[in-house]
Amino acid sequence: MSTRTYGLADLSLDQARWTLGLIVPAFLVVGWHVAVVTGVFPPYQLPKPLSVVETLYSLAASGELATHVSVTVQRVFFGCVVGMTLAVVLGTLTGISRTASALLDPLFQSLKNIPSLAWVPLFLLWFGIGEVAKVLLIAVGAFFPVYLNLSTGLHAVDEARREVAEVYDLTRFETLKSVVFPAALPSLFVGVRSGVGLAWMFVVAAELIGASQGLGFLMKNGRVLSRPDMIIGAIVLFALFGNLTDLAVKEVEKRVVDW
Amino acid sequence: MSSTGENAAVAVDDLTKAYGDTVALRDVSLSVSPGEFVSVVGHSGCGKSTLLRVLAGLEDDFRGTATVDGADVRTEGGERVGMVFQEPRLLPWKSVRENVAVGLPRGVDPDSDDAHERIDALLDRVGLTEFADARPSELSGGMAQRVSLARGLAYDPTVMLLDEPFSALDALTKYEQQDFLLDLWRDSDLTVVLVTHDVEEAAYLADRVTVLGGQPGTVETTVDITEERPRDRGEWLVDYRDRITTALGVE
Repeated sequence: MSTRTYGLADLSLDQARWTLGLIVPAFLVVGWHVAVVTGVFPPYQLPKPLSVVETLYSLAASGELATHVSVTVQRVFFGCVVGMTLAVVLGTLTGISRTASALLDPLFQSLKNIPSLAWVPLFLLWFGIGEVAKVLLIAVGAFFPVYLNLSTGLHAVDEARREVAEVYDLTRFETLKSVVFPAALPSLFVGVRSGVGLAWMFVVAAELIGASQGLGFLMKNGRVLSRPDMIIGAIVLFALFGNLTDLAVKEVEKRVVDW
Repeated sequence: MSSTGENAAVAVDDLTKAYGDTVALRDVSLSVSPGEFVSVVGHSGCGKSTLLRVLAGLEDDFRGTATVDGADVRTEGGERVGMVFQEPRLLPWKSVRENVAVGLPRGVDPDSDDAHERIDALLDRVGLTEFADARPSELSGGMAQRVSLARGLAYDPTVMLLDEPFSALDALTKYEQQDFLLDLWRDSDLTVVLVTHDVEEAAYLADRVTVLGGQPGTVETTVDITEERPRDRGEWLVDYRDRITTALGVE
C-alpha cells in the first residue's frame, strides 16, 4: 500500500480550489434571482432560485420526493448492474480471445453506433411501459462504454509485460490474473464512469416517455402543470446524484487502481 | 548437434533471424560454457537484442539452432533462462516482493514458506529488504533494475540474459550495479550473457566479448578478456577497448 501524506498547506490549497470553483455558480444563482425579481424572466417560465428550494422542500416534507428519488435511483442501479455485468463478461471474452473478438466485436462496434434512444419504441413494444423496458434501456446505455473500454484495454496490454510473463513461464491464467487484468483496470474505470453518466441520461429518457414515478416523471409533470420550479428542482437533483455517483466511482477507482 | 559442443550452457549455431524481409541476424554462432560471463557488443540495430530474444524463447521463427543446456530454446531451453530487459518491466500494481515472486518457477506455490524464504533471501541479496512491500513507483531506476534481477534469480535459471540493463542509469549508479552484478555472478554458478553497446562495460565484466557487426548482424570477432579478477577500471581496459572498437569498425 502506498500512502500519501498531505500537509496543512496542501489541505488549505485544496479548500481554496473548492471555494474558487463555487464563485461562478454562486454568481449565476444571484444573477438568476436578480433576473427574475427585476422581471427579465416571468416567474411562470423561470421561478426564483428560492422557490425551487421551497418546492423541493415541500415535496420532501410530504414524502413524495423520497419515492421519486428512490425509484429513479433503483432504475439506474439495476440498469447499471445488468448492463455492466454483461459488458464485463463480453468485454473480457472479446478482450482475451481472438476468436470471440472476431465473432462478436464487429457486431458490438456496429451496434454502438445506433443511437440508444432508437431502441425505445421496440422496448416499449416488447416489454410495455413497465420497469423492464426502463431498466433495459438504461442497461443499453451503461453497456457500451464499459464493453468498449474493457475490450480495448485488454487488447492494449503492453507487449513488454506480456513478454515478462512469457519469459517466466506464467500459465495463461496467471498471466491474465497478474498482468492482463490489472493493466486493463484503468480503462475499465473510464468505461464505468462514462457508463454511469449515460445511465443517468437514459433514466431521464425512460421516465419522460412513460413513468408514473421518478425524477423524470417529476419533470414531465412539471411541464404539464406549468411548474418550472418542479422541472428545475428535478434537474438540480439529477445534477446532485450524477455528481455523487461519479465521485463514488472515482473513490472506488482510487482504492482499486492504487499504484 | 554441431561443433559448439554438448556441454555448452548456450549454443547458437548458424542462427539467421528475419523479421519479414528484414534480416536481423545472419549465420551467428556462439557458444557459452557453464558459469561463463559473455558480453555481446555491437552498434544499435546489429541484432544483439534479437539474439537474446531468441535465447529467451521469445522468437519462434528462425533458422539454425539455438539451445540452452542442450535443449531447444523454442521448447524447454527457453524455460531455463531468466531475462533482465533494458527497462525493469515490473508490474506496477504488485509490491516488490510480489514482483520477485513472478519469477518463481511453475509449480512453486508463491504462498508457501519455502517461497517466502527464497524471496526474502533474494531481496536481501539485492539489498532491497526494506522495500519488500513498496510499489515499483517508489523505487529509483537502479533499485527497480535490481528487483528485475531478483525476479530473474527467483526463476533459478541456468542462464541469465541481460539486455543493456544499465543503459538507462546514471554513470555512478551504473558502476555500482555492474559491481553488484559481478558479485552476484561470482557467488553463483550462473552463466551470464550480457548485451550492451558500452564497450568498456563489456570488457570490464566479461570473460569474453563477442563483437557483432554489420547489417544483418554477424559475429565479427571474439575477444578474450584475460585480466585477473577482481578487476579495477584501470589502464588495462584501454587496450581491450581499442581492440573491440577496432573490430566494430570505429577509428
